[in-house]
Amino acid sequence: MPNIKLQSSDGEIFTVDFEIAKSSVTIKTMVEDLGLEDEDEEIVPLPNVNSAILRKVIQWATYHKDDPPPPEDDENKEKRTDDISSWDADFLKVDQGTLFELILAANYLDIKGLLDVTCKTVANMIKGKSPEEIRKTFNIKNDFTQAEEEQVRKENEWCEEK
Amino acid sequence: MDNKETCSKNVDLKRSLSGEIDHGVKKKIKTDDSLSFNLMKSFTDLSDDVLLILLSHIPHNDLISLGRTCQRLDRIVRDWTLWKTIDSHDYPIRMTQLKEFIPYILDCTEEVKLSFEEERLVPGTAEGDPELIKNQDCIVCLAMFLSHLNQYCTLTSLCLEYVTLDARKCQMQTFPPTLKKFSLAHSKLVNISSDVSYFYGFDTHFPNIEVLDLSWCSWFTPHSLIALSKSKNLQELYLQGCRKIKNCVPYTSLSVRFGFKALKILDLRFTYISDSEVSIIYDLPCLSRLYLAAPSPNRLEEFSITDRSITMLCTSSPRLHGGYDQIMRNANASVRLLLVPPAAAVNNDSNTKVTKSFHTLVVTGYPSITDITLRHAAACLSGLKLLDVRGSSCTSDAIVQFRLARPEVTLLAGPDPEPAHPPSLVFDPPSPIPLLPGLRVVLHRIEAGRNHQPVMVNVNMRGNGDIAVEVGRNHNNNNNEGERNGDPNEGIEVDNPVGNVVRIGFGGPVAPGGERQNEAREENPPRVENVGENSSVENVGENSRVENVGENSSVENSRVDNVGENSRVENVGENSRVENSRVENQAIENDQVGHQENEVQNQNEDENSVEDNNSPN
Repeated sequence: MPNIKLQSSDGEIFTVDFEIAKSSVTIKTMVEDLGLEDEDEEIVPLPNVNSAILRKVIQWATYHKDDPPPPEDDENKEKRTDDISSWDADFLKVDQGTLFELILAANYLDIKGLLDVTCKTVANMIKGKSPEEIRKTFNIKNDFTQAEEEQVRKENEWCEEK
Repeated sequence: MDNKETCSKNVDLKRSLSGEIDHGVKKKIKTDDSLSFNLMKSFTDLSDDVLLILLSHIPHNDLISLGRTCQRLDRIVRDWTLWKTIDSHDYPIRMTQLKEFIPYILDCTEEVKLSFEEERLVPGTAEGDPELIKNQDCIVCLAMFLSHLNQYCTLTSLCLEYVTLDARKCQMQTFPPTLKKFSLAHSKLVNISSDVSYFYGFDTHFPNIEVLDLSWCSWFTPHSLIALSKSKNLQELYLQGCRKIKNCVPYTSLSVRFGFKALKILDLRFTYISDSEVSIIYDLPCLSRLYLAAPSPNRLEEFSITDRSITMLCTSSPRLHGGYDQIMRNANASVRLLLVPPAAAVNNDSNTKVTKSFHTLVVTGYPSITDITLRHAAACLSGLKLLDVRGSSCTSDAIVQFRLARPEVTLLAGPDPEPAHPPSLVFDPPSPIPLLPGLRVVLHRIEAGRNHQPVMVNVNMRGNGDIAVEVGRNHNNNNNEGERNGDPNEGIEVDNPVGNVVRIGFGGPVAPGGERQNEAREENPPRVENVGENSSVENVGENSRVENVGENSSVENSRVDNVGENSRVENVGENSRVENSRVENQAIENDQVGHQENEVQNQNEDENSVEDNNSPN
């Protein structure tokens, strides 16, 4: 079964090498469980991914098809966010909406490598920023009450004045 | 089309709505990357479980900021799974920020790895001065943090790199006793008690300790080895770059004899350890890895590791085997006798000191390691897996032979690997002491083992920015008359690698008929001038750094590095060394200033003589 057809949420159909599609654990499991290996014409629906994002995901998976399998999740792993390859960095020069869509897609499709690198990209956007700057960056509404704010401010006043 | 209908059910309502709106209001975005439309998800549109995955990639100091943005993120950020292991190791925080971490440390927290920005210390104050830490809040914060840890957690791993500790307020006993791994790498300790080791009671306070990392702790003194050695479970000890480790045969011998019973890994790279200590270390019953590397910039023969270290490792007593003396002439042209047992005598497992579990030996940067090491290692170290002798004088023939004899061993040979020096070796002192004229260095020894009398060294800056280092036996010898009387021809002149003349002249009369080098040095204190771009005056004081010595570019590369009470003045020519000096910064003393002026005058005269002497050579 060299190729597999993937259908995005908006109906577009992508024909992808199965070896590449297998980087998604979700697709791999689905195909194997449903015994689709021998059928060329079967279409796998991916209702949570739209065509734009699916195209990006396929582009990413194609480039990384020869990567070694990602290491098992290690609880003791160091949190590094500066080890993004330059190709990935270029690939992820997208608007925030696309970035978060990619995170959702990578999570849904269970592509650990893509999930890692997208999360690291977001982590880098947060790095060293104050709460107010983070709010601005991600358009987060401050819903703390004034009393709560005051409480936090008091707690840290002693630290921040230094 | 069936698929499409199913999928729209699955897509959450909000998303479809916002998609509709996007379509209605905006034009379809079309790029070659083919974003045919964009639903513009934002951070807070992500579900809790996806956010949790995302947050697991964010360093903890940023998580704290993120939690302050809104209530939902605050709730998610406090999820216990994110705080089981706290790791801001790659993102240094201020010590005062420790307080912010306290609310997030839960009873499930097992590991804390933090690294600190180096706190500014008050320049010029002597070590032990209570004023040394400008910001006492750091200490208070750390104390609060530690008491919280002790109260709520069963922490197994604590790593506080670059931390500044106050030995009085933050004793060893304030750290969580449940620790198995403990790191204070690159830390500073102030207010050290002169009576009791900081590690006193270490073994009873940390009954479970297995790994202790004290790399680049310049405050670590060898006598603490004894306190550490009592730990019954200590398996890994990292003391790399602890530059006070030197001349510590008694402590090493005691601690090895009675303790360190479980120690497997010992890292003593970049310390001033020598053959004597190394030969004792091999008695450790469980040792499997030993790391040694020459401190850089080296390299005093006294603290060198030679073939003797390796041959000692192979036999308990080389003398019993009818060893032969090997005369070595090294780069410093000094002669050293080596007692080396013949390989045949030790090619016998029963004589081998180390057990078969010893499998990794790293000994880099020591030119006195030669083929003999390879031969003995091949013959005697049966369990060896890795041997790193980079920077040694091993010949390629011997390397080939070793590889043939022991194909299973990974042998690393070649030039000394550029030691990955953390900034702390050179830049450890947080506040540079400007190189003032009259910075006085008292030397205890010139040419190791020869002259144990205190000697004066003056480090002077000339008008053109050059540094002049003067070595004299005492004040009086450095007077004008002495200098004038000295025959410039009795000085030693050596071209240093960049072609600048390094001149060592002798003040005072020269012993008649005395040999130009050694004899003269015995009789008269040499006068040392480091002239030129690459001259370096190193290791001149405890916790002090002298940098950017003059505006003049000709001393761009000159450095005065400081490695404490046993510092050195280097690059003074092949045949002379100044060892074990101690620095006193007494630039302000009146007599010193007066003296200084004299010196400057002398230098100018001497400079001329340098030039005179150069041409015939």
